[in-house]
Amino acid sequence: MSRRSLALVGLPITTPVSAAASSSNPAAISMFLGFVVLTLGITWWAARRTRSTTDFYAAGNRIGGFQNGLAIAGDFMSAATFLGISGLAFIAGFDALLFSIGGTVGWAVILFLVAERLRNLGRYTFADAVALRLDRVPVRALAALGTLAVAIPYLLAQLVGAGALVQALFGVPYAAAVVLVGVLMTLYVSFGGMIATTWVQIVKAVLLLTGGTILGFGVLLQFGFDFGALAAAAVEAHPRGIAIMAPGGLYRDPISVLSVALAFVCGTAGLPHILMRFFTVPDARQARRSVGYAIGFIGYFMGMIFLVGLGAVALIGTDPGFRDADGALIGGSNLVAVHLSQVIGGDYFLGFISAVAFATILAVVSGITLSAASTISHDLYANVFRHGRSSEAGELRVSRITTILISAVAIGLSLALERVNVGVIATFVLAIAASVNFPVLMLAMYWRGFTTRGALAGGAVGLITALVLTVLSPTVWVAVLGFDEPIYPYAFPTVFSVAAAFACAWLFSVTDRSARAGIDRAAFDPLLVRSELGRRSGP
Amino acid sequence: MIAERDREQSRDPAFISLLRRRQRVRFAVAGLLVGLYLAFALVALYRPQWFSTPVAAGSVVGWGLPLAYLIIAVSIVACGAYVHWANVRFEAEERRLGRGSEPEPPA
Repeated sequence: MSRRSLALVGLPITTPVSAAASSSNPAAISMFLGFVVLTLGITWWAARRTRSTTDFYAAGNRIGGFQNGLAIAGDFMSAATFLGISGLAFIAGFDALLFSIGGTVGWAVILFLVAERLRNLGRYTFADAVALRLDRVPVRALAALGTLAVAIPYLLAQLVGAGALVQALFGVPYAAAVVLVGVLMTLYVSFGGMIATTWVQIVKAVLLLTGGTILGFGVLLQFGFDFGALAAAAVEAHPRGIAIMAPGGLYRDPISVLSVALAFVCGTAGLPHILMRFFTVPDARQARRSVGYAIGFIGYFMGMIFLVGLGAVALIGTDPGFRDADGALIGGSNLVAVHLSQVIGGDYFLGFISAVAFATILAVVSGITLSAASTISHDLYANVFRHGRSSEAGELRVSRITTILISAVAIGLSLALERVNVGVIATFVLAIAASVNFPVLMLAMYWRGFTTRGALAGGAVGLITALVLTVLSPTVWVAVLGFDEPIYPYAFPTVFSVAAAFACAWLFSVTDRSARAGIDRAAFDPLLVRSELGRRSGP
Repeated sequence: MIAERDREQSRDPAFISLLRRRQRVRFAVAGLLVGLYLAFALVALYRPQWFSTPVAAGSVVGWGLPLAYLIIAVSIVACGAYVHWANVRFEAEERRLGRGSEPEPPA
């Protein structure tokens, strides 16, 4: 690779020639502008259709199963998945497959255990389903806390990642990139609500699936569709050699492996912006279909991503053109898929993939922002503070104002925390989702004996355990705080935090003799019927 | 009112039978897929040599890789089959129970 390709990824490298070229990949910029114009058009169209809270939170329940499947897949195929897992495959080889399988199987669990019942029970947020049988006010407050503890850090991670990516791809300064992404997401969500968020996500999912397919097949094409030759070239190029085709590149202990599995399986099913998607379809049947489609897309994409990572090892692994003066990969392992696009399809394809990566972040942050705004306006404002007595117009206004406030907070945090480790935050977010939202939602839908006290105890313990263990883990205690030895030796807290959450939820439920516990348990039977058969339409 | 009728229906043998069969299928398939994933992870951890055994003489590709892709494929097929089956079988029963998945009344 020449110096020119370095310049195209826009990194500040030493020669004046590249500096001049760094801000101009016309293909990337025009494709990105095309995406922005299209999505703003969608937002304008959606804003005219957003009149009620149902429109704002749930796209008026009018999204079809196939479209929602694409949108769900789009939500899950974030930049972290696309760039992160391909980067992981680039570094660790085989062990990245644990993520590919985990991501797919996690969705199967959502299909079988969550999608149908949640659709039948809830209206706008997953707290709706929990609050049907448990004490409304404290449980909604807990769900809002769980949602915000996921949404705000996740938003921060995505924005920081977006800033770094845009800086690398387009040569725009970090701060300008963060503000640009932030302003666009605020526009999409505050004007277009869930309708705009869903359609932006669908457009992006199609683009990303297309890009992933071209990358994957492009890699195979380079090796005459001989997978063995690709693998052999990767082994040849990788410093760890044959070891990348064998397990052990990332994890060597059972606790870590199990934690990753739990983070994927339970964490995905506890992400509020994903749970919200089930309310955009008209009924449980469409909810089920949408996950069916989503798993197809996600599984396919996961398969492609590993291929992309392996292809990156083989095709750019040793190329000095993608390394800086110190021999480090330009932009870190997160940019391998982008570098690879240059090798596969030249400048235009590089531009396409860069634009798609940016679109991905934009679409995902919009979904997360909407989930945070929904929980504040629907769970906290309308149900906790106004006890369900707020007007629809009032709730809608609050949700729009909240959207702007949340975006402002997230932009501010991302500007202040440019150096934060995005991977750590993503881990933490999944751990919170798995340890707070997932146990509370699952037990409320499946266990007759669950009580409000059990929910509060389980949720609080899950939250605290996940938080404390993350701080004590090597990724924060050693890497961020600078201590020599981690107190908790594993990267993921999930094994302990999920177990603690379920154990406390159980213990504090079975020992609960309060009058409220009686109400909670008695409310289970009607809820069971509704969760299976849907809302009764008549009296 | 609605809650009372739902409570009544929760004791209906036809509903209980539907619920049992549904739960069995859901937990069985979910358990199978999670089990496959955990089995894969455990083999990767404790018997890594199984996964690095070449698929063909002279190949650097071990058995683990095609197996990983197989598990992803099995997940997709199992979920697709469930969706189809649930839509065909259960929808008919739901209609017999007088509910069906009609669009819900406006909020």
